[in-house]
Amino acid sequence: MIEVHNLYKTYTTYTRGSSFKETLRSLFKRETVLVPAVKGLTFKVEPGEIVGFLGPNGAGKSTTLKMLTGVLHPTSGDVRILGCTPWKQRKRYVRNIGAVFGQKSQLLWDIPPLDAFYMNKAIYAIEDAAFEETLHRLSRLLEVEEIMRKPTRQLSLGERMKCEFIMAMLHRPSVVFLDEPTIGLDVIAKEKIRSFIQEMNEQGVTFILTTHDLEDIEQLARRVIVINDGEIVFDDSIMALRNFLGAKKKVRIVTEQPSDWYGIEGVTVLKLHSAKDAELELDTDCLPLKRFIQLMNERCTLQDMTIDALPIEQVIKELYGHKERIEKVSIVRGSSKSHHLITK
Amino acid sequence: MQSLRFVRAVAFATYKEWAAYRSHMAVSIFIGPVYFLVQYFIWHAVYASQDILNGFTLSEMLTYYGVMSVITYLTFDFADWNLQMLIRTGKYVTFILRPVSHVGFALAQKVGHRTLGFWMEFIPVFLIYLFIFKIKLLPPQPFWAVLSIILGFLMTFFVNYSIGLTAFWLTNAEGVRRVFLLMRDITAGVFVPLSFFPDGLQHVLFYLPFQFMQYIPVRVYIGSYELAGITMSIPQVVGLQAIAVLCMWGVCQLLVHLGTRKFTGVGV
Amino acid sequence: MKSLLACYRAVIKTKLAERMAYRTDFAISVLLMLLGDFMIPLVTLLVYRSGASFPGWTLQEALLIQAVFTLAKGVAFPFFFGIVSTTLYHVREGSFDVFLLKPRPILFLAMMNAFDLDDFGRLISGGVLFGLALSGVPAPSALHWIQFAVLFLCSLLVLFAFSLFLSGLLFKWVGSSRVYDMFDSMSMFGMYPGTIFSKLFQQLFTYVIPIAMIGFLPASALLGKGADGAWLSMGMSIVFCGAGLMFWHGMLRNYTSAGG
Repeated sequence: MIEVHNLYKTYTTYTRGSSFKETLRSLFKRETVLVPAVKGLTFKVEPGEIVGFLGPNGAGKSTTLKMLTGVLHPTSGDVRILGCTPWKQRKRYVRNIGAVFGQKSQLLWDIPPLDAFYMNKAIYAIEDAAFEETLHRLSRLLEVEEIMRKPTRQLSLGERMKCEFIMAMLHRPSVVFLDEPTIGLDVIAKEKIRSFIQEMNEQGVTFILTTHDLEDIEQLARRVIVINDGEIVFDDSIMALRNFLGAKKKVRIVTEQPSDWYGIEGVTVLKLHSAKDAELELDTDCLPLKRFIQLMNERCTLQDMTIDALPIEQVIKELYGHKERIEKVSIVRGSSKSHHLITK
Repeated sequence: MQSLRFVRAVAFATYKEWAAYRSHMAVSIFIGPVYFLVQYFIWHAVYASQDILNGFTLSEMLTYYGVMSVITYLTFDFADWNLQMLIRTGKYVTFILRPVSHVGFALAQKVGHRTLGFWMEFIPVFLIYLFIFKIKLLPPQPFWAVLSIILGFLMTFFVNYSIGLTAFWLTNAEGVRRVFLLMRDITAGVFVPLSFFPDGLQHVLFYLPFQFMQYIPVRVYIGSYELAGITMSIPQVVGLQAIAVLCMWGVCQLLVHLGTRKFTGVGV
Repeated sequence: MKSLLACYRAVIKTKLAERMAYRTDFAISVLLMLLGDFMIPLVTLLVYRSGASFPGWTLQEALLIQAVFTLAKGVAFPFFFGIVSTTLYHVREGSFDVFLLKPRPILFLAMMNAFDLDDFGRLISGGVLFGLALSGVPAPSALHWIQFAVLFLCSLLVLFAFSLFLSGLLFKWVGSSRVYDMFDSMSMFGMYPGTIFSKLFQQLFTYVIPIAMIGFLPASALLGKGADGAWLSMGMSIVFCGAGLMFWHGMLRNYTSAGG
């Protein structure tokens, strides 16, 4: 449904120089500087997927999203979405997509969102019956039936965001692009938005979202694409993302007697809270979990044990640190699809 | 028809939006007559020593200003300000993301805005001029007057919109835009009838788009047209106005095409 | 000494770099202010050129009134008139509380915040107009200059009062930029010889709302045309200013008690 091939975007900016002479000269002549923002992106998205784009600031996520929505013309490369090239057949293309771009609101400040909904109805040429049905369904789902009749300026950020979502989906698009959809929202609003996205996804809507919120990724995206410095450094399922650092687990273990954890293959001591209380890192590639538990039972009497996957922040930081594409030989646990880490 | 429904929906939403700011518009009922009052005194003083000035009698001069004042309420807009704001903040992107041409959208907005202006500004001020100042405000040829006002409405929009479009290129040169606006105001005949300008300048003004915005509608309304020594019959000048509107529409479309290409969704 | 110079140089560089960023804008901004302020004088010129005139006033004399008005704005706008836009912006955004949190008189803070470098362009246009107009009239005597100076100060008082009224209004009438339109329309009465207005309006704008004090009265004094009632008008200007201050503080009290 979405095919991206060798997508490039290079921006042109101007330098002004910092020395006195240069600054003066800049009055008459400016030097151009080429800034490559996206360098050869290639990926595919099937209908019904939720794909999350992660990446540090300036990585090229927003630029990519703009090109996918037809807002930006690439320097080179191909994109086919719903049978269209977004920037070439924009008017035809945007009829079938929805987009929520962070703080760029489509609502009108002084009048109720409902009026803006009717405006979009006219813009997208939605039939009366279909419009009423969709509006009713969406507003009930997001619980905005009352508030959508109040002027936009009286609504909280969370309420406005919900209305933005409705704006984006009134015309029943098959693909929806979200740029930082939960930014600035409180916990409850975020949950509501996420469950809404999931519900819509179950009904067949494909979602592409960019975010900094790792919880968004964990709760929503089954597939994650990490972009760094304009290139894809990771494209796989969320499980694979977790396992990126080599199928490691964090184990907190409390024993009845003091125990010694050093010298066990596959176990690294992270922190010793006391002689009976330790935080360990278990590399299950080396020492499978079953074996580890057996070993524990043999060595000591367990009082308490918690096993966690490594926090995803650590994974991300590691990936953000990668400037080159990662080499990974085929072992990717838990990945059912054939997307694997890009090889050099 | 689809476009009609679109225009109606947008115009209606805009109308409601501005109705929330009724007091803004209502102030015009004070401001317009105040400006006119000053003109009233000025021209009464000036005409103390003569009967005709540049082809206008006192009564005609006052009619000119009165008509100019009320017609402005029907034709003016700030499409340039709105558009450059959208471009600068990056909110313009929300229009690229939808199957809508922003030109059409903005024009529909103007319809809604000016419809409210018709009730809140035009009618009250018109009545004040007619009954309190006793100005001759009834057009001798109403059909042509209305047509010319509609064309003036469109011309003003396309000129202002084009000025706003420069924001695609002049990202922070608010100043340059203001040059255009100033030129526009001087040459629209708002401050003084264009026939007061030196002949050479009048000749130049004849070929600029600005006279088609307000000066011609006012002249058509009054019933006689003259500029740079050129006189035309009312139907002729309205025909010329229509051609000018078409040309400006073309310029606008070209700039939109070029500008959209340049637009990169600032800060999105 | 060396480090001082280095510091000074760094500051100049920064200022220059700042201006470079908006180089076209700044230059054009000043140029435009000049052009904008020349509009009404231009119209006056065109009218006189057509053979007409204000009875009892030559072209230069009429232009002098407008020049004084512009000059007064040239002093008022950079230094204190900006409180209108400050109030407009901050009340609308809900950030006026910033001023309320500081341990200083709020009006003083608002005025400091309102200082606008760009508005000095108005001073230039006012000065140019003033010079041009003055060149066409017989040189005023020292007495006339003194009278002018006193009345010019009153003119600034009146402008200050206006800025207070407009700014005070904005506490209630949130975000309405039309206050500028209101001021511009009313100030037209101060741009022309008071003699063209009817007796009623002359008295209104000399003694009640002393708009005539902004341009007309100081210019008349300079021209030796000493208008009647200038003294009374001076007094009224002070009263008007006092009223402005009362109004402003009253509206502010209203605003803060209502929770902003």
